[in-house]
Amino acid sequence: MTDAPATDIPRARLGPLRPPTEQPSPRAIWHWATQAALTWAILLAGLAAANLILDHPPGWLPTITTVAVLAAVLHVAIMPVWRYRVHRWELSDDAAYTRTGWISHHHRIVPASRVQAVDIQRHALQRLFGLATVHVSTTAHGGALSISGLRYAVAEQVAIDLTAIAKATPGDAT
Amino acid sequence: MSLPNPNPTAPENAEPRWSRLSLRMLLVQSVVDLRHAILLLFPVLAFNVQRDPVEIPLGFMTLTADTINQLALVGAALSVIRSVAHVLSTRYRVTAYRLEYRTGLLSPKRKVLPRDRIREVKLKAILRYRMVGLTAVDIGTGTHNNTGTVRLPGITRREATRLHDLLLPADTTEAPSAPRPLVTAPLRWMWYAPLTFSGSAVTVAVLLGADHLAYYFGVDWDNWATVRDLVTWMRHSDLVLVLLLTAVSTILVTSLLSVPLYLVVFWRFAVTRYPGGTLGIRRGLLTTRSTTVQEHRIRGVSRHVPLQMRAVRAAQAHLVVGGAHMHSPILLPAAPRDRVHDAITAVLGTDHTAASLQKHPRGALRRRLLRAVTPTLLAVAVLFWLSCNNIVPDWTWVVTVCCLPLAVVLGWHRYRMLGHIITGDYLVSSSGSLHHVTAAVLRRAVTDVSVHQTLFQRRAGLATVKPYLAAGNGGYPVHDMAEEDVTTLAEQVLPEGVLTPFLADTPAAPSPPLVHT
Repeated sequence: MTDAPATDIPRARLGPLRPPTEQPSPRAIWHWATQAALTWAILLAGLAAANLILDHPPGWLPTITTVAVLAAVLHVAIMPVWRYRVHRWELSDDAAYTRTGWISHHHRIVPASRVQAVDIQRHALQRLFGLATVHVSTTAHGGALSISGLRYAVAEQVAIDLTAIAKATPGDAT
Repeated sequence: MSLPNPNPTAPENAEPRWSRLSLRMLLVQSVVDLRHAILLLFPVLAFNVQRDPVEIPLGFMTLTADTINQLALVGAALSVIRSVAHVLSTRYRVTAYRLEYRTGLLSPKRKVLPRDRIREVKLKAILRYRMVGLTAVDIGTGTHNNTGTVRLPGITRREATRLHDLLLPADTTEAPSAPRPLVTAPLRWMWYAPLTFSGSAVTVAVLLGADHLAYYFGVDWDNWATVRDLVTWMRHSDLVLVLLLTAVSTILVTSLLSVPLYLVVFWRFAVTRYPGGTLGIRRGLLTTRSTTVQEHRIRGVSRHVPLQMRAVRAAQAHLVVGGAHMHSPILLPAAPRDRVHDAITAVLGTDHTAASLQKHPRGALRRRLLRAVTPTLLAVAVLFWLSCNNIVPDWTWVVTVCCLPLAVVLGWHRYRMLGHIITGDYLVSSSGSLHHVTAAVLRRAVTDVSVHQTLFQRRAGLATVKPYLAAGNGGYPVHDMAEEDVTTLAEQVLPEGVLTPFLADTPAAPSPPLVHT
């Protein structure tokens, strides 16, 4: 290519991100465990039913079932605790910052000037543990930033704070 | 039946009158209805031409030729009534602040679009519309579902132009003295058509369509001597030969079909800049499409090079437009790479996709290789096991082993294509081998940023950064970049100062030693 634009002079390299400061409620561990257990229960019930109903179950069915039970136990035992160690959130004066995931880590930074809507979600299972999720959506359709495993009171406060900083920060949300 | 009362004779506060669709639309609709009627005709004929009267018991009634005829008649009548009602009941008007739209007799629907939200007005005239001088107009607010879109199916071209100019002022798509186009696609580029994937997709669609039609007309392929001979020959000859011949003939047929298709779609392709800061993109032979893009909504550009196009140094370009979800208007169909460069330069001023990119660390190469080779090795293992158990022939795993070098080349090439750079107001990112995409997007158009790290990426010191956009496909990720460069990149696409409190070296947090190069 002929007239390629000149590239900017590289800037001084910035330091790494630090983890956000706030942790979700410890009750979130139980919520995640229950959620995982319920999901696995559906699959395991299916396998158990297949084992019982079929007159001549194929040779690999018991093996698969054993593997599934092992995976379920490991997942339900390890994932919630691990996840709890990873999940963090923080609000600054002009942005929301989260870290989510367990094996994979996901950082997300949403500037307040891009915030379109803030809503609180409590689905049935969350309500059982008195927890809520705060969703922060932007105009981009890449999904919303969400802060999960918060107690009601904390979630409400987060939503209020976020709305306040979003209001205080001018911006067209592009 | 009560008409929704638009009351066109009593304009209050000088509100504009409600307009209707053109009555010529009835003519167009009758063609559509006729088409439906013809489809209805098939079962009717099927029942009527039988020598012996057919009777199908359905429990509550018996289907005979007579009942079928009556049902078809009722169906046809209903379809006519429905479309006439639609044409007659659709009304719209443009007030000072809103576009209002209503349609439907039995279940009236109403839509109101605020005028300052209207992002695009698209004129689209398919053949049967053009024959009666009508055009369809899509008015969109850029939401990514249908609620923000009003479609006026049949209004006169003059009225459409009036609406267009009214809703997106200072722009004249159909003006007689239109300025000279910035970008055009000469006809000889139709020879690139076989290299586009849409060509192959169309071939499959055409073949399926032909098969479907043949089925309608009762053609049974098995009765054709040639087809029968071909099938017998294929059964008795070498599999490799058959596969090879199939591949060659597919390529031939694809090429043959894709060229006329290209002509139909990209006939007189032209991108024109109009006064008032809009771009008009028009194309099409039978169906002409003109899309209008407000230039201040352009967030960048993406250049696409599928593998086949790389061989002949061709490329395609799309605009990344804010608000226009789901579709990125074509800036240039398959064209020589230099011409794509020129087109991007003409529209954006500078072709940032041509900037030299910052390469990603070697760890990214290992990761690309691993991700290309592992599935191949798995396939070899599975096929080997299957062939040991005599489930698949032996040559399958041998062939897969031969694919390993290809996988290595693919992984290496995927690494070579990775890169990103910040240049001027733009973030440029590049990735993909079989379909290589280089995207240059405005830094200030980035809404928010995510950093993704799998376990392996963390151990290799890599991260995938996704700058989200409210435009195009939602953002072009920077894959497997060096972990220590992430914040420097993020800082430059986020609004100023947003990242600072979250850095490890800001005073508020416990500060580990600074990493400066």
